[in-house]
Amino acid sequence: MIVEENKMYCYLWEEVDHPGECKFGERWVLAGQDPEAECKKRIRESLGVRKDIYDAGGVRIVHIWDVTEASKDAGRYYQRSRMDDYLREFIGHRKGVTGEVHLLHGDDMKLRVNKLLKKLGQPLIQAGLSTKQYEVAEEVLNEFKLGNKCVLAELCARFGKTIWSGALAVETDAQLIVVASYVKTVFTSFATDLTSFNQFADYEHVNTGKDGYQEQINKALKEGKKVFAYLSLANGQKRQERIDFLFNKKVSKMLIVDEADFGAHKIKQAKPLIDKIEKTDFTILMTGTNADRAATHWPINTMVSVTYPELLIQKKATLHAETV
Amino acid sequence: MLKQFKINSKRDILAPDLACYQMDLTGPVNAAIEAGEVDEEFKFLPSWAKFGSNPIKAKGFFVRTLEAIFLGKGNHDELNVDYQINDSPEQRVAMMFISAKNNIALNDAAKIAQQTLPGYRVIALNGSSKHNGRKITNENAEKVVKEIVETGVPVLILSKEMAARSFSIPEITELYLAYDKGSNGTTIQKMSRTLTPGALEKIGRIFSLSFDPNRDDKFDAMIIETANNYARRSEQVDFREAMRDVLKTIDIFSCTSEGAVKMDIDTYLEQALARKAVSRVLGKVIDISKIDGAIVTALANGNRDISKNAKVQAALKGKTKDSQGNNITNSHEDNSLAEIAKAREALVFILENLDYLIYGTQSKIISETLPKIKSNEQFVKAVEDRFGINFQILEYLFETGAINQKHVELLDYF
Repeated sequence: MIVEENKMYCYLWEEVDHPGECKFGERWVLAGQDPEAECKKRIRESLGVRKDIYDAGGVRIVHIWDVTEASKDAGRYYQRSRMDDYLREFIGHRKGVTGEVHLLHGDDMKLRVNKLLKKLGQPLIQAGLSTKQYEVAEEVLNEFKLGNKCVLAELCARFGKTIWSGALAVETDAQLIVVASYVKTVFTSFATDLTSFNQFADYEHVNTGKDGYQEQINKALKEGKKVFAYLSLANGQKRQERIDFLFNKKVSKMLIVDEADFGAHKIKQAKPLIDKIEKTDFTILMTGTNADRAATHWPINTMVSVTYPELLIQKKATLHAETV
Repeated sequence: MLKQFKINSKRDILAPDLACYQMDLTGPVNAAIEAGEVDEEFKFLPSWAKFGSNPIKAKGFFVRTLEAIFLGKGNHDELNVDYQINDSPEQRVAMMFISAKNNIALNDAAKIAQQTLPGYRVIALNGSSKHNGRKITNENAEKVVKEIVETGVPVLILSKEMAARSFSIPEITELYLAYDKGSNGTTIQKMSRTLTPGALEKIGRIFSLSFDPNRDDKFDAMIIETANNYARRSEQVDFREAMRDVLKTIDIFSCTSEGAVKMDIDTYLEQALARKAVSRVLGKVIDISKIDGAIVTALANGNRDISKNAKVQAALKGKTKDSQGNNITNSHEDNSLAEIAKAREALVFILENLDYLIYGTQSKIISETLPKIKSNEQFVKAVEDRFGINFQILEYLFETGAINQKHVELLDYF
């Protein structure tokens, strides 16, 4: 992508071998340049005599942001304006007093920057869906319209389940989206992926495993915001309390069970949620494989499925369309 | 149409291409037998399960196989991977899911592989192996492998189950399936380990190492399920055309001493039908949620005496749609996973034996058969004896679309 005017970008990277520390920096991108290429060039340069780390794939670029609007508002829309330092002051967790390294995992830092930019009014990028994601989203929305409220979605690797299910949440206008999983990394994946995009700018992300989650959810709903609430299905004393709280809310609700064939398929994990299905407007069980196992106890109305070769068929069609 | 999202077709091209290879292990097996390197049991009927029960006992076979694949030794060109893919990567990062009875057996296989492949770094992923003093776990497996990959040497990762899920190493371009049978879901999950996007032109290559390629059905589920989805979404495309389109997109190669030969579509279909793969996969993809829970139970139990079962009778009266034509949820709360699996077996059996209905009633297509059977008591009895279910249930499966007419067309193809 080439920009048509000078723009301010920020980037975030971490060393694969040193999780828990990340580097946040800025790049002034001139009209006619590619921001991604420019940021990558800057990151590599910043490694000095250890560029070999970058070349060997030891650097993970977590995210690149267009912060032009925020820099204009902050009076820092010019080269070497230290927009990065301006933003990092809000974030904190710096390594040393003046360092550009933050003592945070990359994904955690990304989430914080997303939230900050939203607060500062920087427009986020619009999320687009792949053709297959779009088609299957339409298919599920049609099923919802027909009154089929519980959908089993067997979606292959690389389909992009997170953004797809998030899109369904937006399109159905559900006010409270409960993302339930036995796999805890799912929650980080949802929060970091979705907060990057404009369509999710008005959503709060609340981990129900943390103290004060009830107040956070109540406050957000009262302010007219929508909420993604993350619910661990691991057996615990407070699990039922959390489920009761979430599903007793008198708002429209969507339940997304991710990795539904892993742990979540067992009766002890599934039953407390199935018991609330009448209070849930839309339910999506997502799994990569083993759909039968995922659906064992659920009153499924209908099923959608996408296999990897379907993504390749679409890829071929898209490439063909580009060359014609 | 979605209101807040648009299509970004750039996302369509991120998925790495995929190529599937069937490798015939007959060469190294015979060589190991001739050299007296395997025991009588393995010699009689070689299998990965037998290898995995004691890799050291079948060491000769495994050494020959690895040498042939990775080093091009032993004059088994049909296994020489560089020759088959017509490329020699600068740093090979390969993963092999292998049949192993336990962690000890997997570690034994890894030791053999390490001795056989000088210059390679072989790592066994299981709870009893370590890397740099750290015990390998599901959580750190990805990090451990990344560390090894970064050293720049060729890498062979061995695993039986670990890292089959949430394990993303972009550098893995070759995946070897070294087991005889596995569930379709697990196999697809394992295949996906080579599909993590890497370089833009990346091709994920999957090799099925088989003792009998004609009966090897590891790629079938993916192909047939795709064709099923594709045909379902596209009204204009029938099942056969869908299979052809899918097979045009994914290359399936047969590895020969003359190099990899792309499998002809008709040959593939014929072989898949012969090994009953099509009916098995179509049985698997039947949407059980469309079938009433009581019918699922009846299918699982081979229940012919439905007259006494009120739930089954209610289901057979066609209460699958409400007055607006919407699907009514067929609750399966009472169906256990084992029961659903048994019901699927019964459905597969029906699909496998459709020719019995067609030829038995001297019909040309399946839709002609049901009225003929219904009007003839002897036919009804014969069908019930053959399938172990009440004829009304069979009718129900076709009438509700649980058994899709398009599937049946494909099974009628040859």
